[in-house]
Amino acid sequence: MSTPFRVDLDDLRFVLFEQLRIDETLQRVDRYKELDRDLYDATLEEGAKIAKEVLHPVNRPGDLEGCTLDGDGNVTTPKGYKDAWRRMAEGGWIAPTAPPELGGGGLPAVMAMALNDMFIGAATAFMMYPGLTAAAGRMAQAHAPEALRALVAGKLFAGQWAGTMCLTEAGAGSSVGDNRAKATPTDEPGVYELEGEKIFISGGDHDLAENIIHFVLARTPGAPAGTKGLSLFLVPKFMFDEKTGALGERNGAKVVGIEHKMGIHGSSTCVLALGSDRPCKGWIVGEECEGIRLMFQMMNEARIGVAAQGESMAAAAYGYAVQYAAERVQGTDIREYKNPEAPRVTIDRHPDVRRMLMTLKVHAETMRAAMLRLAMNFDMSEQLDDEADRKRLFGRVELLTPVLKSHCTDTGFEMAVTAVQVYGGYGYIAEFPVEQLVRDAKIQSIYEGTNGIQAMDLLGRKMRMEGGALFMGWMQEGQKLVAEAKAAGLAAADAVGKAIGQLGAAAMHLSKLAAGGKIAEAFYMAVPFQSAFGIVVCALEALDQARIAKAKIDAGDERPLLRGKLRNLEFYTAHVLPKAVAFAKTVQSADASALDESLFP
Amino acid sequence: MKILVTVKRIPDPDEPLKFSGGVLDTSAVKWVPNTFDEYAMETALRLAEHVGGSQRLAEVIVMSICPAGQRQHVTQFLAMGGDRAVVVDHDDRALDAQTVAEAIAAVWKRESCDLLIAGKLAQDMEGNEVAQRAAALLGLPQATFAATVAWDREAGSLTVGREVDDGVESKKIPLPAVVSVDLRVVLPHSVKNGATPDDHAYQEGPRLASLRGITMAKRKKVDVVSLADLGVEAKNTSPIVHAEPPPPRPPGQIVESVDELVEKLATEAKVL
Ligand SMILES: Cc1cc2nc3c(=O)[nH]c(=O)nc-3n(C[C@H](O)[C@H](O)[C@H](O)COP(=O)(O)OP(=O)(O)OC[C@H]3O[C@@H](n4cnc5c(N)ncnc54)[C@H](O)[C@@H]3O)c2cc1C
Repeated sequence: MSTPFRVDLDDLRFVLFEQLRIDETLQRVDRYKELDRDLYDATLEEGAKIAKEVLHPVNRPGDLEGCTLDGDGNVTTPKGYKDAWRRMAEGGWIAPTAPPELGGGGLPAVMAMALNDMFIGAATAFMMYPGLTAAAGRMAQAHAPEALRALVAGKLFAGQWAGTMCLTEAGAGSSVGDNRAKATPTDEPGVYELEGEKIFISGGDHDLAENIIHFVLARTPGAPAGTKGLSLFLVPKFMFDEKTGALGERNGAKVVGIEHKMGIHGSSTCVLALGSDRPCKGWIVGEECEGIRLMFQMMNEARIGVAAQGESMAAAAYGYAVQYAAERVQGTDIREYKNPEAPRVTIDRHPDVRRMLMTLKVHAETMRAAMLRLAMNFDMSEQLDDEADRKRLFGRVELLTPVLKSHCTDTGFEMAVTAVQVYGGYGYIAEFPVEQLVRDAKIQSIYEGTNGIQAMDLLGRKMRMEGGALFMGWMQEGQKLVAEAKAAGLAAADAVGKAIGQLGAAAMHLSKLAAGGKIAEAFYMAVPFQSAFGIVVCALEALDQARIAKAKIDAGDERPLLRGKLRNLEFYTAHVLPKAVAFAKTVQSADASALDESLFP
Repeated sequence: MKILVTVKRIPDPDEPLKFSGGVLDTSAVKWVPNTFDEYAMETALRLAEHVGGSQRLAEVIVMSICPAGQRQHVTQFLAMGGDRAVVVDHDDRALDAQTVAEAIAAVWKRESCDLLIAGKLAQDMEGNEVAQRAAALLGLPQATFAATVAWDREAGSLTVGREVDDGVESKKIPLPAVVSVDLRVVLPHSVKNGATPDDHAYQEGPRLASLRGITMAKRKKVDVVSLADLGVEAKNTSPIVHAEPPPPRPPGQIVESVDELVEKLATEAKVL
């Protein structure tokens, strides 16, 4: 007995077609003019089948079996992974946004996000491979050496080859600038020989695809220290013919170890030795010392991808918990406390369990909306005609990427834990899916820049971009929505408006601290500030959804989903939003206790 | 060769049904294609495609009777690989099985088809009669409950393994013909067309649409016609008079002994 995996197509449709109205919005841009509601619907339906029939069946077996490494550096993935990969590749689901010219489905990012909502929760570890492969494909498409570009991008998008990103080294985790891998030019123009060791490389080797393309950061001779001196290289597992793609000899990028870890057992986490047993060749991507700028494109996308992982964890956790709670019978209705004969009820009748289910519901649904909106803004930032509009939307994506990466991954993990609590003892037992969810989710707040590093990016870079205009623009738009919701008669709008104000005050406080030279004191508060920000971003989604639901209910629409949106706003305002206000207070407190040098000596 | 595949949309069998005022309440129903029709589509596609080659051996035409604006099930079948579609714009719930068969026969004639493949029944009404009626109207040989289908292109015939009570009956029918399919027709080796290697193992079950298939589906031709265009009169000789859910099952009982069980089976359940 376990709990089946569920996808929430109704809520996905609500966000896509009633809240964001992507079918109308995206038809305004040339690239997506031909896509309509019917096509989006068919994609969602088919995606749900992929999640349930292709992906989810490998989730638990993959967790139990894990990956293995042989003496020649070859990783074997769990049983069933190859077949699932083949079916994903055949169906074009590895890189749904890839351009039709390169054999892709040409979907907008917002639809890929909707698919990820279903896919990642279905098979978290497995989805690491397609996720990185699609990102590598886009990297290749944008920046790979001209002669290889279409070939490599096409192979990656089709899932014939797979991709990785290689930043981390033993001495260079959060601090990417401390990278020591070396790249020396060869006689062949644009080709270098790499030496060094990368660690924690997801998908560093596996048996799903014919070839693997590693995007590797390394330092050329005489390059300056720090991130400024890094260059980016395209390093294949097998060398290949630049025209036909036919595979040649083994290149010297070889896995010499895989990690045993808390979760995502089906995803190989590899120590990748470069040039240890034979020369490791790589093509330079861009120019020397342009590496960090180019890699940031892949990292930004990967950060959004990891935020999507967190969101999907919450969606899965809610799906499991709500089904289990409707079946597990325990205790009697509290209102019958005097009656020993009272009938036993399912646990979803108990007020505290309902509180937990509602917590799961509001977080899953508000994060879904926030992530889909982020992805739609990304689409528009690429496709709109007007340059100012494009720039504004891209700025919004930049501002919210660290906020949502951290909010969704922290909350996704918390929701997995909450789902375990809903199950009680059974949640702790491996037979039920939620204990794996907890283990699989934890890594998300760590990789792609820990959430602490995200907060530093937010405070040190994003809040200061364009003199703070990104943040101001976001606040103004938020207050505009608050005013609209208030005019529509939603009482909770005031509380959301106040929270935005508090967040603004916290930001002011931090910029004063920094201006006064109290840099450590300011960054000490980076995470609390980021936490407050995330909660408010999602409060705005709750508010927006309630506003839309209310208008429809007033017009006679009786769907329970709409009523649920009104309840979401009430619950969010009472149970979640106060945390943002508390975090904003923390930020504005004069506390610097932990910075006392006599502590942790 | 032209293959006509029929598909009916039905309320999602995995969702609970709602009743109000003595009728099935379909206002909030999620419509899905009948599963046996998905098997029919898979059969048609396996016959039409040459795995390992590029030539297509048949054109697959999807047909459905449904309101023209609610044809997502048709889009899905086109996305799976159907070539084009004919939609008969009418609420099929207001038609009886004979009228449905007449519409199918009319489309068959219009399109000069060679093979009709239908699901053996629709999961909502479980009538199991439309393919047979269509065969009779068209005066064609039929093979119902197909579990295997082998196409002899030289001879222009099908050898169909039919699910019958005591096993599988093998029946050879000349084309043009009507086939209705059963569950096992979607096993990996059930359908052979003489072009795809005989040992090719298909993925079990009806195929999922590819993303490319979904985008292409929008560009495929869909003819929308009315019953009048087909010269068929809308009739319903067997309307549903009343519908209500079955009474809830009484809770199970735990008995102390075999004797008590026998006693209860005899006196309460009255099955002994
Ligand atoms: C399963 C798994 C998969 C991974 N996949 C990949 C991959 O595919 N490619 C890849 O390149 N890497 C990958 N990584 C590496 C991952 O990105 C790093 O582990 C992560 O960036 C943190 O680096 P670290 O482990 O060295 O921790 P550290 O950098 O040592 O950080 C330890 C703690 O110190 C904090 N900290 C560090 N520096 C600062 C600072 N300046 N200010 C404030 N706080 C700081 C961190 O927030 C953290 O809490 C993976 C890791 C794991 C575990």
